[in-house]
Amino acid sequence: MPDIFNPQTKEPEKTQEVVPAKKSALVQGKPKHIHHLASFCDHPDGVRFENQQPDEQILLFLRRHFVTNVPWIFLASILLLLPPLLFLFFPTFPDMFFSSLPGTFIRVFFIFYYLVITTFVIVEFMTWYFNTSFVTQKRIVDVDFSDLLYHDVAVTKLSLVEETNYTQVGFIRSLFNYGDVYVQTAAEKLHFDFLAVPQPKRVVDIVQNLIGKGSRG
Amino acid sequence: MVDFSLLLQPTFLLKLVFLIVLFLYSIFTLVVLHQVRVMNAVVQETHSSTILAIVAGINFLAAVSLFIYAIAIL
Repeated sequence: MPDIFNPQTKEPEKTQEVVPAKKSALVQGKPKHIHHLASFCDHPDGVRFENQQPDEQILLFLRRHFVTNVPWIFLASILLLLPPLLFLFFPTFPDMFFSSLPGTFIRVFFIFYYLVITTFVIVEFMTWYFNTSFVTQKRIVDVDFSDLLYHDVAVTKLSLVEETNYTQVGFIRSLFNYGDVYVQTAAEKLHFDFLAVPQPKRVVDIVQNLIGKGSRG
Repeated sequence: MVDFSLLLQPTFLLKLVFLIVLFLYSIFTLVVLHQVRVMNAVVQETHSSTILAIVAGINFLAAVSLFIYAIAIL
């Protein structure tokens, strides 16, 4: 008599997490040495952020493109050269402004002037240097630093990232290949903006592949 | 008897303004140094962080030195 019901022992379903090939390749990249003024580095070696977990690997390190520093470098250069140029081209300049002042005051004034420029350069450099973003295999970390006294560190898990897109508008941005990357999340902070970062398309690709939305192949 | 007319001399008032500005500036450079140290704890790069901290420290020392120099010579 044929068997109507033959119970077979089913193999238990595999519950292992399926890691997309691209994500796996991204995580297992070779560490690269990060140079002093780097704006974009994948798998950077020699950089860490606060509260980084021991098993957490930085996949992407981002800063504003260095070319965005040109305006303040230009301004500082002009301010540095201004007094010698004034003395050179307008020899009567000291008499016009400092004739009534004793020599010691003038000396202190000029030392102070150059110290203020130094501080201006340090503060502008800090604003660029500490405005960083990190993408790890677990989360996105955005460090904002502005106006010397304000800093904000925002963190979101990659699983909460919903959408990423970028804009690259203008001649200078196209020429130097930098733009703004926007990451929408379902976390408390809805937007993570990486402004004026180099290679925005590549950044979006990397984040999308990490969240499993990237194009296969 | 104390001669208060000295206090109203333009040179003295100018010296006072210079010293106040330099004192405030020294405090500002101290704030810059403090912020560099705070941010170096948030983002740590092997060599660059140290260089920036040293530069900010030298800037602070220069500001304090100028303040002391101004007290001495003005």
